[in-house]
Amino acid sequence: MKFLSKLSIRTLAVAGAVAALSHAPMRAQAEETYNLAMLSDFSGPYADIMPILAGGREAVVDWWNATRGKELGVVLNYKNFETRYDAAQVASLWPGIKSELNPIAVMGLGGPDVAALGERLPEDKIPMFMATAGYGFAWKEDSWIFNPRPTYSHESAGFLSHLRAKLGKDEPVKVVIMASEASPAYVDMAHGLEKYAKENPEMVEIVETIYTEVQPTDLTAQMRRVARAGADAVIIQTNTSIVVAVKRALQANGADIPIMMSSHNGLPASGKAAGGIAQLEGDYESYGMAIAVEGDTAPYGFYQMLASDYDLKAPWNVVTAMGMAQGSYVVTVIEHAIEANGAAGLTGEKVREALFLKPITTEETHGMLPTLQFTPEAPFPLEGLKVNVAQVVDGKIVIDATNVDAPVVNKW
Amino acid sequence: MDPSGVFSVSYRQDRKLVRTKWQVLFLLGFMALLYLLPYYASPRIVAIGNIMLISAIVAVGLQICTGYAGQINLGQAAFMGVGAYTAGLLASKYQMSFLLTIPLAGLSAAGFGFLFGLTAARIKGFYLALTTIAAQFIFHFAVLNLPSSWMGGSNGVTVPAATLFGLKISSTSGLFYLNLVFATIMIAGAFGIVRSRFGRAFVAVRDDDVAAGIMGINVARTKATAFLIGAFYAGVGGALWAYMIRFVGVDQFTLFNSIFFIAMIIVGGMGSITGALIGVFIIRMIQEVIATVGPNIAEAVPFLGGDIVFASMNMFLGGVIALFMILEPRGLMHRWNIIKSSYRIWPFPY
Amino acid sequence: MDFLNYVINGALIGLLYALIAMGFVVIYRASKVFNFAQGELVILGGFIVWYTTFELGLNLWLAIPLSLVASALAGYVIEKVFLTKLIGESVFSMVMVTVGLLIFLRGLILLVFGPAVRPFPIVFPLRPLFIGDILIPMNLLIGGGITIVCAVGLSWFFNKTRPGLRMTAVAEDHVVASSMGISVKHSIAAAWIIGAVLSTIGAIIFLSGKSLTFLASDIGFAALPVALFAGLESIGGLVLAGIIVGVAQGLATAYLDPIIGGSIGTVMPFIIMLGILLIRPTGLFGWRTIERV
Repeated sequence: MKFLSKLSIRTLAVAGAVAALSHAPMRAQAEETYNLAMLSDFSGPYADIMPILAGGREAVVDWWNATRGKELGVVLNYKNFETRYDAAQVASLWPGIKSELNPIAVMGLGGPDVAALGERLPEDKIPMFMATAGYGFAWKEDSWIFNPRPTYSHESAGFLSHLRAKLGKDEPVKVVIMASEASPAYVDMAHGLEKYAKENPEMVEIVETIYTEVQPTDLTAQMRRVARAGADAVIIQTNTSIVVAVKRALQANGADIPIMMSSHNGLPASGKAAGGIAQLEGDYESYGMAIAVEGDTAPYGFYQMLASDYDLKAPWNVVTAMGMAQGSYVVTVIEHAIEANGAAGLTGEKVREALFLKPITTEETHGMLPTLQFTPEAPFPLEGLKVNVAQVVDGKIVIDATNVDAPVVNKW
Repeated sequence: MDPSGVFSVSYRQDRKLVRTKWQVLFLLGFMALLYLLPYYASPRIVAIGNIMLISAIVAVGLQICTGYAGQINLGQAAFMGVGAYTAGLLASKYQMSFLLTIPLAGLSAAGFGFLFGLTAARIKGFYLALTTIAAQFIFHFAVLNLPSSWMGGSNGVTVPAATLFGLKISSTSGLFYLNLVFATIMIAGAFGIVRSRFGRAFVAVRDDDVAAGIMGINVARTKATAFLIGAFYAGVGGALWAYMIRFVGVDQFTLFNSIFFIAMIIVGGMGSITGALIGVFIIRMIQEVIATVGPNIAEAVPFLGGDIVFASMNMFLGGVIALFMILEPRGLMHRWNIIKSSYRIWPFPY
Repeated sequence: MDFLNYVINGALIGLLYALIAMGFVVIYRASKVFNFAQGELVILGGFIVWYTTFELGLNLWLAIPLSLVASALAGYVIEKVFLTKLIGESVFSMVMVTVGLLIFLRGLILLVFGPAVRPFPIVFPLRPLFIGDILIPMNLLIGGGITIVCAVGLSWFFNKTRPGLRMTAVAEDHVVASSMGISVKHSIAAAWIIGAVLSTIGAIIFLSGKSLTFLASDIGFAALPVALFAGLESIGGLVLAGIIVGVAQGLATAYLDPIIGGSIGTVMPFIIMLGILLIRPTGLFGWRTIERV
């Protein structure tokens, strides 16, 4: 008994001394390492843009590790996982990701990730942060999946309120929605805007929702109806092929109706598909993150810094911007979590809580995103939503409006 | 054929599926390995196992319908989708236990399949293939356009976890056991079906349906039954899929998924249940290997790029199907049987 | 007036489907192979055209004939690699091989050309034809004309000329034809060459001025019902079948879509196909085969 207590006291003393000594030169030693899982698509439908997107978000994490992370004593490791944009693949990868990495956050890519992990993340207590706009079908309370942008319907509604002001109209803007049944997401986008129009008839009037294939055969007849109805804009948030087909059909009808595109089928991509950006003269793109044009702006400055110092090879375009935006708000929320809880013992749950604690200011994301205040009610911030609008003027993409307030769109 | 020295001395022995003591031993050993998988394998392997088991159930159903009965079915994914939606809706709206929803899912898919089976009575060969492709597209359209409250429309259906006596089955190993139990039952059942008079009727209709009709087989009913059984399996597989992914969306069940299932039975060998299992294993294994190794290859050899990997996989898969049909239409099972029998009768050549 | 517009537009789109279906039918007529990969042949042709016009920068008058030759070559190669060995095999094997071919071609196209959306050259003038209040897109109008010319020409070829009749004999029965001294291999090769060229012409009409991506192969599936409706052996019948299917789809898109709030126009060809299969599987003008046991 006595021997034991002597031993234990001595052990304690030694342990205490070691502990005290080890805490003295504090910063250099206590480096915490956390893991981020990055869901990617290197061999599926988005394989051609994946290297750019991945480059964008990885460069931001590298930058954070070297600057803010170093000060806080935290290193964020990341690993890419190939999902083929297939929910089955994500589902089969997830247990391995969880056990191998035990990540504190996941950077997601698109619909299949949401589908496969939507129900598991609350149980596994790891949050997922997306790069794209939200979908109506993922609009749930107490979600563990977050979008830095509101839904596509919010973004189109925001654009339309801007257009209405720009045109100086008192009546509602007349709008045609192009949708496709090829993917439920496309149908979802249309339903959201339709609901908004129903609840706000003084702002927007939907002339028609036209469903077509991903590669339409011919839309001349449909665009004739559109032209005759005097539509003010055509909303196409689906893909570039529909944009090009609509454009040709509008040209055939001699109708000068502007098209609004989203980020994934935006002006650069659709312009290329149409044979040159000049073909899309007068058309718009609109989404809730920074528009990738060159100029003396904070996002472009951030990009240039990443390109020169952190090996970012991707060009400055909307995909890179999406990746950078995703990386930015994830590292910011992790930073908030560290500030709230200390560098040690971070878990996915604490990261999620930090998301609701403080807003992510637009300065913290270098202007890539507006100030975001997340709440447990939705996967995206419900207030303070803003969209940016760009237009093709004289064959070049110029910013038409920034920080337009996106209106309130109720869940559909 | 039996190994040399093994002769059946009773009718019962002749009828056996597992024929020698060694085979019984191997089978039991294999089953034990499978059932103990979560204990010695990493969660990733168990997750791959989950996908393989579900695909195996669907592929076995397809094998019965297409491999044994000769009814080309390019809509198996749509039947799987019907099962998945049924299970998902029953579970989320009525909180039914999975013990009820899975069989009901199978039955609803079977009903859907039966309708197509009836058309099969009048339509043959590639016309039938076209009908099943049409089923695929109509399923897609119907789900998206029926009112949201019926089938979730574009929102999909969120599925709660399966529960058994209050225990939630949502972990990877829990799901593995769920899938394994159902797979064991369904596959054992499949062996039984193909050795029964139904199975023999299927094969007769496949070989020559006019002749089969002359011999007294009710051809229309046999074809419809083949579809019914194939769709039932697909429905059960779909229900298990719903419980695993926990979200049912119409784009999980596309024409390409159907073609993948056909690829599995072609590679494995048509007309053999074990062949279907082998085919599932190989194709899924290739997919997983490419998914795991792909990004590393893309990094290591930068000029190839990621899109090469996807494209290569498609090319590989398509090439595999085409090559198997040309060179070895009876699939790997046939090769295996040749090897097995030449081993058994060695040193004699025949 | 609108109704007339929809009918005319639909008919012209239907003629485009008929052109693509002609590829099916020619291949079927000569080799009894139902080519599920026809849509992939269309986009293969489309990519060849894109390559010659944009990548090689050739003038259209040079690029198009070159593309046609290249696609003929492609058709020949595909036939040699995949289908020669299948002569005499069961229908099932052939179906499966073309399904495999579909996946293979899609992968090949992705490998060589990548998944990005490419612009397609403007082959036909963009300004449509105005007849009073009716608006007719130029590419569809000229395309419709090409379809009818091809249909008449091929119909005459298969029914009235020696080589054509030889190919028809092969379609009836490979074994009997070869026992009569007809080279089955040559017939099938010729069929695939013609099929590939028709697909490329179809691609040019379909995509002129628009954009090209590997997803465009879906049109192959829309053209299937037309082939079935006409009856898989009848080329002339394709014109009528195409017009009917196209008009039905056009009217459905115009009048039914808004009511349902969905895209019934896309499914309409399949509904028609199911109807045909149930009522009259051999189609309007197809051969009625007598099966011997």
